[in-house]
Parts: sequence; structure tokens; C-alpha cells
Amino acid sequence: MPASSIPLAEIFAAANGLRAAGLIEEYALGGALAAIRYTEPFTTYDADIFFIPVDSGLSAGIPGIYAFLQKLGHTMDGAHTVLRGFPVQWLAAAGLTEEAVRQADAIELEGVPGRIMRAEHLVAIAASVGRLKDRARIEQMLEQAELDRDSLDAILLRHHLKLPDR
Amino acid sequence: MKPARRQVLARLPYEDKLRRVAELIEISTRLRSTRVKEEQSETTKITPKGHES
Repeated sequence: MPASSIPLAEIFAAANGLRAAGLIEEYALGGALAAIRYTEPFTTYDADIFFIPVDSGLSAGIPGIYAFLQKLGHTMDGAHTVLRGFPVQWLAAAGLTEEAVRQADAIELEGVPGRIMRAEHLVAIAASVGRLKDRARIEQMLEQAELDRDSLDAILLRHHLKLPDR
Repeated sequence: MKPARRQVLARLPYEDKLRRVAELIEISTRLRSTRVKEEQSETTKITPKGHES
């Protein structure tokens, strides 16, 4: 991957295409690449796109989604699609992540509209996953992001979560 | 890095941050590649003669 080019605008364009084709209902960027919107930049090696499936079956419409992306030039590498050398993980949203997708912020990147999860949802999702790196992300978000604490508390309460002890 | 500097970085526009992440990935990839080459070189050095892989 060449420097200065994480192809996020192209990833958003692909997700917009999936939505326009009726293969997904809605989507938002989550994970580390979304967290970087609110914190200092740090190394991450993929993009996590959470989507609300149109197909309620077990596959969540993944085969159709991958076929569509391959037509756009994405290649496959295990569970990821790869665009210009950058892996993208497509994750079906449910519960907390579905709420995060529905309430995501609309942004524009290089003229392409996209959607990105709010900081409060990213913290709550990290609390729900609870790995060491999620705890570190929570710490970093609490230090650096401009969080709406009332909103965060409401999300945590709604999903029966709590932040790890600091 | 000092906390104040980290706060400054956290306030950069998202597109600038993405450029920095791409640079970090490139540095990390280069370092990893150098380390692998060094390890391979060390392995060659300690492999008995006639048994180089």
C-alpha cells in the first residue's frame, strides 16, 4: 500500500453501492479506523465496516455482498476483502452495533459520503468486547475524545455494560 | 510522547490522521521486513556448513 493512501473513500463508495443495490440496509465504519477520528493516529491494518443485513438468514447476505465487491475490483483474503492492498472486514451488525450503525455520523471524504460510528458507541462496543486492546482503546478515548458522557452513560445502561475500572 | 502533543494530534482533521496512519503502516512494514532479513541472515550464519537452508 502506498503511503498517504488508506482507500477509505473508495471503501465508502463500495458500501454506498451495496446500499444502493439493496444488498445492505445501512452501514458505518467502526473499529480502530473509526476510533482514529477521535484520537491521535495509531497503526491499524484493516477497516471494519458494520452493516445491517437485508437478508435475515444465517449468511446475512455475505455471498451476494462479496460477489458485488469482487466486481468492483476487491480481492478476497480469508474473511477480508482487499482494496488496493488494504483489508476490509464486513461485519453484520446486531444489537449494540446495529444501534451504532443507525446512529452513525454522516461524513464526507474526498467528496464521497460515508458513515462513521460515534465516539460513544465505539467506547461501548469496546466495553462489550473487553479484550486487552479494547480496554486500551477505552482508556485512549476517555483521555483524548470529546465524549458526550450523558450519551455514553445512556448507551452503557441500555446495553447492560460498564466501563472497566481505571 | 507528551500528553499535550497527543491531544494536538487527536485534534487533527480526519484526512490528515488517515495519511499519518498510512505512514505508520509503511514504517511498521519496513521495520518488519528488515527484522525478517536480519533473522534470516543470523540463521544462515549459525547453520553448520553444508546445511544452509
